[in-house]
Amino acid sequence: MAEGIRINDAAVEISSAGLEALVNRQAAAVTVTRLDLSASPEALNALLAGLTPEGQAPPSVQVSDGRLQLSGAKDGKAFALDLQVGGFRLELSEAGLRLVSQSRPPGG
Amino acid sequence: MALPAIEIRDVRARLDAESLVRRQPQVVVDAVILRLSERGLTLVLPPGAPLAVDRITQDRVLFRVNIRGVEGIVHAQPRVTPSGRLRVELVSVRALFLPFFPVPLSLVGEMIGRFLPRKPGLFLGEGNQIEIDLAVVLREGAGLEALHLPPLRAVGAGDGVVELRFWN
Repeated sequence: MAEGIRINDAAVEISSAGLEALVNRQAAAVTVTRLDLSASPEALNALLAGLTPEGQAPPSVQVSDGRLQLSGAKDGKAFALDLQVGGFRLELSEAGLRLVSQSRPPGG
Repeated sequence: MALPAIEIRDVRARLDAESLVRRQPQVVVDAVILRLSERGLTLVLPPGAPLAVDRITQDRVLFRVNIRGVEGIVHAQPRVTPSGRLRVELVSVRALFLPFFPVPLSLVGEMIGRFLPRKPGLFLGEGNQIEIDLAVVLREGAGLEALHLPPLRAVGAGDGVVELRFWN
């Protein structure tokens, strides 16, 4: 099996009510309290290919230290996105999601 | 805060991206710790089984059983077999109407051997003790064919929780 996506660490809880529903195959409710996930460039490309409508060329992605490059073409027009941001931090709050770029510390 | 029925910790697993795209994700777990509370353990017992978890103490799980109106308390010690099965080893059995006289374990073992239901992942082990292959239970019993669990390597009980440790 390809090993493109790795769960490096995760913690999940299921309440009594959630487990009862799960056992009876009525519903599924889990609470994730910790998550550390990684995806290889090959896995990201496979996901992009799967999400691209049939008949269209999928975009391709390249990842290197602190950099993500996405390129492709739509309706004969090429596009490219070069994210040289170091990394991202995803914050969850009442206001919604916030994705913040995070520079790498020098030498980091 | 209420204790969760199941706590799944320290998960290390692999997921195939192609299988995710096909919406049939295959998850290969390399290591995981599963902690079941008394309520959680009761809920995962086979439906219709005449027993419930009474409490979980140091190294012991106490089951309350009711067979044809006769109530009893079963003390069991969870263990691991070399093949990675969970072995529920009986330590003592007492009928509630006669609490000072233990029921001979050989008699209980004979009854288990005779009446153990045929369920996926449920086996009769050495000495007529119940053995459970949790990977088979999840795959065939719970219909989670896409989840591949490593063998059970360690088990412990205490403070209302049974902890199962799986790794490759």
